[in-house]
Amino acid sequence: MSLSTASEQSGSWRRPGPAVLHYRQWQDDVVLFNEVSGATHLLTLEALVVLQHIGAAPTPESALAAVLRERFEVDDATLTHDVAELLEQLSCLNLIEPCPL
Amino acid sequence: MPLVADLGRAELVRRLGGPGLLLRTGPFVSRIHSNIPLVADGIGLMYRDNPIEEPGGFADFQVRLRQSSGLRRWWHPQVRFDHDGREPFAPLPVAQAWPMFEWVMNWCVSNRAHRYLIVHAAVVERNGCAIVLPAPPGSGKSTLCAALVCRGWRLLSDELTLVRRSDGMLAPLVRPVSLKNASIDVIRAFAPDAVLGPSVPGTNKGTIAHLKAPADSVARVGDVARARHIVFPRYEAGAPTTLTPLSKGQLFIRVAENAFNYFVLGPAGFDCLADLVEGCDGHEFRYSQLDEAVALFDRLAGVTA
Repeated sequence: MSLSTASEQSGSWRRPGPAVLHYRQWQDDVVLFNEVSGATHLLTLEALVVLQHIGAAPTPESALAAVLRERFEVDDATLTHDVAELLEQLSCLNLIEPCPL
Repeated sequence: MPLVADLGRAELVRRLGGPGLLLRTGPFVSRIHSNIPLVADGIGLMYRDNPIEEPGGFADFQVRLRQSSGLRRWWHPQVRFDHDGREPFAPLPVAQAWPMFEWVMNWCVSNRAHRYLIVHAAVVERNGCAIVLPAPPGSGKSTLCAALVCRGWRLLSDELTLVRRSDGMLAPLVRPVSLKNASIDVIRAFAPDAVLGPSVPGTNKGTIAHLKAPADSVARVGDVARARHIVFPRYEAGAPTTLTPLSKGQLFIRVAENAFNYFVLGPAGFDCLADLVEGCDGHEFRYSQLDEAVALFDRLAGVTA
């Protein structure tokens, strides 16, 4: 399976460049291959959900939090910290980048 | 198809020193030139059951191992390898010509055969159940592989697992099993009838001796196999026999770390490896007793005691 490239729009987070991401999911494990960088990553299901959502449209952090809250039924206090940490991790892997305001 | 054993020593030496010996190992044919007696001895013993092609036929790899000329011929003689005119390895003492031949054969496949996903792993099969054993040097992979082969498992490879990209099947590349240091005597004691070549001390991996692949494994070189388990072995003195499951994600990353050309193949390599992992259970395996290890592998293959 692969995630198609998102078109660049203004927003909080987006996928950088014309990347094509291939992935396989086994329960909570996700292995993702970035065709542009050649890097392979072992991710969580939460990370995949974020990437899929950002892939559809560049998205503010609050919207990503809402998606994760609905999907995984996490309380708000935990979620705020976890989403910020998750986005930071994905950004460090060059899988997402902050959009200019 | 004629075998190396059919040639006889004189004809083997003539071909190696003249038109080249076309040696078939699994899906590959290598044209081998060498004027070094240790290479002829090694091929004559370790590859005696392998098919050969007629001189002048097609070869996938051109392998030339020759003794240095000039003063070096007499003073600390060396063996040199050239592949299509290039020398990718530094020369070695001529006493190490046989281990070098085996390393060269590995090098040719791992650097050229990209129609396969190539994993640094042994593969054995029994009862239709192929088990892949990836591991870094020193983990006990080859010792375990040799023990299994000496107890009736079919050898597909000791060093290079070839995953066919078209259908994920494992292609046999049956060649000698490389044993190092203490493992040599361990296997001699475990299987006194096993055919081992001479021990070669002082290599950069220590002392090396090769275990000849069983003739029936060589004869079944055309029978591909489906991987059912991927097991990362680790020998630890005194450790109990322990099998610990790995998640699919962990398994994928661990196999990718042991693959020679995963990064060369790009998305095709990713898909091939993901399909392999999909069809296998992954485990870490600690052992210290070969008999217990073999019994556990037999159970994985559904072999009843």
